[in-house]
Amino acid sequence: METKDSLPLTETSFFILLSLVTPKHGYAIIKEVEQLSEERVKLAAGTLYSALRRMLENGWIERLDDSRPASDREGRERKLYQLTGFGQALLDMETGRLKALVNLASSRKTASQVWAARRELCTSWG
Amino acid sequence: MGSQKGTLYILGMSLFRRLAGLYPARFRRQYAGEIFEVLLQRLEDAKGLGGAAMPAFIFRESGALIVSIIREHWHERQGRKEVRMEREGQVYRRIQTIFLKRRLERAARVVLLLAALIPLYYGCIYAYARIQIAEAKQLGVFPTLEDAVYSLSAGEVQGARVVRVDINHAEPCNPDGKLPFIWCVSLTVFYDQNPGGHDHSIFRGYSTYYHLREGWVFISELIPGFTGQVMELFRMEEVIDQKQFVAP
Repeated sequence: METKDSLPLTETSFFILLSLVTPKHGYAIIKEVEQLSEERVKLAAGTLYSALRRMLENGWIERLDDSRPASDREGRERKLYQLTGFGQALLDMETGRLKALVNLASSRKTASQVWAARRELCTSWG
Repeated sequence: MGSQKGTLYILGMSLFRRLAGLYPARFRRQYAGEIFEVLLQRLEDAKGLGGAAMPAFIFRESGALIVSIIREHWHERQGRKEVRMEREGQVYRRIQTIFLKRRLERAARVVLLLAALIPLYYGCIYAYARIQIAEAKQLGVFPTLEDAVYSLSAGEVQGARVVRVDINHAEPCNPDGKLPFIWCVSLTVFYDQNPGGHDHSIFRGYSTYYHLREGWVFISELIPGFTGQVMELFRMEEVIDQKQFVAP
């Protein structure tokens, strides 16, 4: 699949990919996404795993066995998820796209400030 | 209050377990265990928060689970459809290959048949020409055209003797002179007795004689000149070389 075909990412996909820069299991992903989005995005377990399944199929992420000792895993058999090279490239492209949008919006803001100053000047002359 | 929370916790767990069981088999095998684990952990978190956090959590997650289950079933169905289409495509491609193979085989057979027919055709016309020459030679090989027409007319009418033969017209059959040894002759033969009781002569409007190396022969084929053309084609030994040919 072409990287460009997958863009733009949905907000949920973007946050999930961003959280998977380091390998994580499902619960940790939900917590990380909540933290990254400042509690704005709250992932439900069903939504998360549907998204993970889709990302696995598209090759954006990979599924690993948790190799940590059982005591660290609280005795649970968990799977870890992490970004693939393709997923990382996708995330970088999306970040670049968002940056470009922010820059564009910032330049617009500057122009509106110029217009406001001109308007003020005209009013003072008038 | 504590007992109520415990009941709600057990109820939530049970609900999630039942809902997780509704996922399509493949998805359930891979992810249902993990989903249930995550839900339990989050249920414990919600329990710790107190108030209405737990029922709100159960309600929210149940709704999301149902949506996710529907989505996964739809995805599974789409996947099956794609697999079926892929299989059908493979079958179609296989059939196409078989048809193409058969068509190629048929074309090759036709080419081979044609290739076999060409030498067969030339073999046949060569054999035909050889038979015609042999039959002509059997009738006699004569030093001149006059000798030929006289001798060949002699035995034709029983009990009658040839008095005279008039050659009305004699020239090579082909006007461009490529086959100068094939002659078209018209003649009238006079007998001393009346063969039919009416006349003493027989008119032959069109006869083909070949002027060969050995002499003149009469060719009795239906298509005048065909044997001569085949003889020329195969450069048969009987044919007089055009350069050495002198019209009689």
